[in-house]
Amino acid sequence: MLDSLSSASGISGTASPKLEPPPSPHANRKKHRRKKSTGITRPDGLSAGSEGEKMIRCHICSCVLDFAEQEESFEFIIVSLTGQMWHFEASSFEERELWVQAVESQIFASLQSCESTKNKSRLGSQSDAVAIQSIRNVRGNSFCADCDAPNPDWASLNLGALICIECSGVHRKLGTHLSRVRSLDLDDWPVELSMLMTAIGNAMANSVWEACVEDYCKPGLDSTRSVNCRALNKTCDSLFRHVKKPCTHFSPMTAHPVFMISPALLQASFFAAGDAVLHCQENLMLHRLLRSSTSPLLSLYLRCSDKT
Amino acid sequence: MGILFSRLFYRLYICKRDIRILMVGLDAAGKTTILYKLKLGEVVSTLPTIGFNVERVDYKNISFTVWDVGGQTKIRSLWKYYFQFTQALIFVVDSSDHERIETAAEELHMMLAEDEMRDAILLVLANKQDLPKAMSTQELTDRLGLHKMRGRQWFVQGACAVQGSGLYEGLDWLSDQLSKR
Repeated sequence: MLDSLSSASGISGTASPKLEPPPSPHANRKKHRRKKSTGITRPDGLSAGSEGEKMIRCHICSCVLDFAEQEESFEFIIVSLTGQMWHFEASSFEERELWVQAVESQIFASLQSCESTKNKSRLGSQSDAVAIQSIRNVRGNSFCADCDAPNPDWASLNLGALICIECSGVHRKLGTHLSRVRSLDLDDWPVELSMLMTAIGNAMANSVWEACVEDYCKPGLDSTRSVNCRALNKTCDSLFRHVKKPCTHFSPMTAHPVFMISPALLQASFFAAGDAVLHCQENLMLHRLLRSSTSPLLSLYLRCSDKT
Repeated sequence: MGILFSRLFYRLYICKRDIRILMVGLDAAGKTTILYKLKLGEVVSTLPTIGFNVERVDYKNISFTVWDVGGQTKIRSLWKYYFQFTQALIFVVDSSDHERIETAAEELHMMLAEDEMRDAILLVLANKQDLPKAMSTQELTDRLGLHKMRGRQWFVQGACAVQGSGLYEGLDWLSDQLSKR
């Protein structure tokens, strides 16, 4: 609103006195009140109805326009709901009238733009749909990253992979420090998140997490409902599998252009791996394996975690 | 005298008070796990709640009807349909989710501003206390802006749904507050 107010001042400041601003919805009320004016201006322009004070109040724009008429000067005060006040003085009654009308028309325009933000949000949901479709179109995203169920509707933000609702339950169980699960349909998708998701995708995510996993049997659709077993398998498989056998020859920096995107995205996507590593430290063998590993993935994580 | 005594006896030992509780919070905070931990005493494998779960939990002569409503962004707008006749609100927070604590605070305050919620008491369950880097109840109190609230009874209870710790302490507080009414 402050922006719109200052722009209003700008407009009327450069306008010639002949300029007629659009009629304001408050105009009648303002004139009616002006007749009762005695010229006293209260510093707290927020209390309506006090004697000698005229006020146009617009809750939606969080703005109060307050003006007082004194015998010789033509002052008006703009008061925002945050309590800030701006005092102005015009050279004539007509000039002040123009200023007031310009500010009012600006308030009116802001009100209209408030209404149109509803339409904007509708447009936003359309662009959301486009973003979600582009996430679905990424290579490998038509099947769940963990169990190959078709058309997955859930996403792990930090792993950059799409998963089915069953697998999303398992990911959620791991905790947000390992996998941050969101719904494609029921959650909002800000641009940076949809960019991350389109940049990675299931094929690429699994090329990292499953790169060097030998004798690994992926849980399939048929393994559903043997819930515990499946959950256990998936817990271990989907997130810890890469930790069990860290890849020593894989170089993400050179293999995938996606890893060039930005350090922040990079860190986000490998955050989970790092925590998984920390979680498994009690497993001595694993620990030793990790420590001896020269995996670029791991060193990358260690570098990232050093910074934080 | 005998009638009076029997009434008192009935009130204390036989009559169960029904309390309607709404349990909300951001997605993956652990609402459903808490509900079934209270109901069944065991940790169930949950899926994201699309819609709601409702269970009756009997504890300390109070029969809590707990409504557990899904917390994904776009279905949070449906919470309001559960506000009517709600006597207590359980707001579940994932204490390890530092990123979204501000979002949780916003949702909480928006909900409490609703007229239908003006008399509801607030129990915040700081869930997942077992996870690394979990925020303390003190930190959560600050970040949820609870001290700023006026005219509402509230309490923050640290909890871990999978271990079952803190849940009954929360219910204790609820039953204490509600029995005063």
